[in-house]
Amino acid sequence: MPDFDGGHLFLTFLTPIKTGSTTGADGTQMSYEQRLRMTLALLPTALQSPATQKIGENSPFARNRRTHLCRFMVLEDAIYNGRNPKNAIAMSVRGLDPINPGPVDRLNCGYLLFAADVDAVIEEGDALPKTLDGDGQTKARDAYARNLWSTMEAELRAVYGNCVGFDDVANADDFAAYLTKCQIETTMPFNDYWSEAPLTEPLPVKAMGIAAAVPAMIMLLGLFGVILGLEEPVVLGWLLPWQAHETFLWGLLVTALVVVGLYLYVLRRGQSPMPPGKYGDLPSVLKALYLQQNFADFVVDHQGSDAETLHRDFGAFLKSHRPDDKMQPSQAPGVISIHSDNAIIK
Amino acid sequence: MSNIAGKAYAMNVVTPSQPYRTWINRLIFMVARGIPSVLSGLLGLSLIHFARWVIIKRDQWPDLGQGKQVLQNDYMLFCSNFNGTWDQYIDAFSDGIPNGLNLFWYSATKYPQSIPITPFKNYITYNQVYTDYYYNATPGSAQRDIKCAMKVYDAITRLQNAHETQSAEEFAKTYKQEFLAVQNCLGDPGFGPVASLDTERADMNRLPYVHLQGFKLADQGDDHA
Repeated sequence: MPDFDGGHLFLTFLTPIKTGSTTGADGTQMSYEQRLRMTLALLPTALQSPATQKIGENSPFARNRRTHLCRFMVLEDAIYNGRNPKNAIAMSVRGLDPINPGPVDRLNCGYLLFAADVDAVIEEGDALPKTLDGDGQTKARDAYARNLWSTMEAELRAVYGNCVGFDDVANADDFAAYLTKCQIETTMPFNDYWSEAPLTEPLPVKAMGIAAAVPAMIMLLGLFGVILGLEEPVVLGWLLPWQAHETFLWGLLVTALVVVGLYLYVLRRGQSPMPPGKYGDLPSVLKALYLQQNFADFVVDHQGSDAETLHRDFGAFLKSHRPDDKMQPSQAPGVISIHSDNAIIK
Repeated sequence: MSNIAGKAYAMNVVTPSQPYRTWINRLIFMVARGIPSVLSGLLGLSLIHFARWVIIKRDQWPDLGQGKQVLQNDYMLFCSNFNGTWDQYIDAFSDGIPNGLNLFWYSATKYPQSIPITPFKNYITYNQVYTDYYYNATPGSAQRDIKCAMKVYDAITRLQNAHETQSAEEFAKTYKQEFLAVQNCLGDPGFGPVASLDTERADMNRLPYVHLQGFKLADQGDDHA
């Protein structure tokens, strides 16, 4: 499943929003959709700007080190791009009048999108897996859902309380099962946290083209034979004792089978995951940012230092910042830099 | 509500597709993953943290008891986390991988092609849905900053090995080589440009409400069917 790629899970959930009205926190009557939007608008973001730093309350998602990026989006209804253009002659023949409106898609309720880019791990800090079968992906997804529940249950209740079927969710396992019912498979994931572009085996496009072209050509030669009223297929009849119509039919069948086979092959190949980046997991990303900033300071402080000083002080740098330990010390999630408040995990 | 979290912008685009064409789109995505030159176009933009395309078949919309959706179209959801402004992103896509874009939106109804750019931008505008909540674990760093930090991490690991085995003079030499290699990767993380004064004020005005919310939302009022 392309939900998994590069050691990450690209989780996509669409949850139906309740229709009807409810009461907001201030006692005002409003729709569930409105209450959901208000809840999301007031959920603390990361400490990402001077204003949010002044608010001082970090995002609930910063309570875990699995979520690189995530979003909630309310989709009120299907998108309509206007009437599809039709051929005027065909319309006239069929007696269709363009003044009559065509069918327009309408959803019977709004949906809440939750899209998250997360590390496909069971425990925070685990190495990113290179491959993960369906069962492994399910376990990693459920582990993430349970982790969210244990770290931000109140916020999740406030958000999903506006959605259909959430009222029965009582614990972390229920929440994981609830999200499962709302999951949509990601078709094409993309992430670029590789230090160097990954080496992947390219599709054998030429060989695939030849595999499809040979039976197609035989089919065509048979077809030409049938069209020209010959008993044997064109050209091929000089070499093989086949009838024209047989050649056409067998060629058609083999071509169809090869095309279907190639389609399935390409789909299967496309679904095999890219390898994880060396530092692609969030703890490593945060550690890399932490080390980068400290190393920049080290470089500035040691311009012109003699070899002995450099060697001694770099030893102290390693002892203090522990590059081997990606979990700590490190930069906290959801902050601008290590110089922000509460920005270092010690 | 904001599409912006630090240096990242969250774009959501939802486009309808006729169901008899979406299988071709799925094939195109899978082929793209198997052809490095196509993928390298995306990698070459160097401004996307994570992105995804999701084909939602018309019978796939979750039904938790509210009733099945009856739709004429499949829909494609595109979610991206990129750096820079909306205009810069669309320009980069259109200039950098115009045909790749046309292939990725091959089945989208009324897709105007990525060149010329004005109708393309109009199309994205009309099909974009704004983000209601956006979280970024590394708001001070763009995608290139993160990749730079990874290079520095690698250099420090190599220096750590050198520190254990080399004399002070040899280490000083290695240090200079490594520093030379990563000298362009030592920029500081920082705030993204403020989108507008209104955005700044909106954030400030949220202050009392965010604190107020502090999770009494869990005990919201009564529900009405």
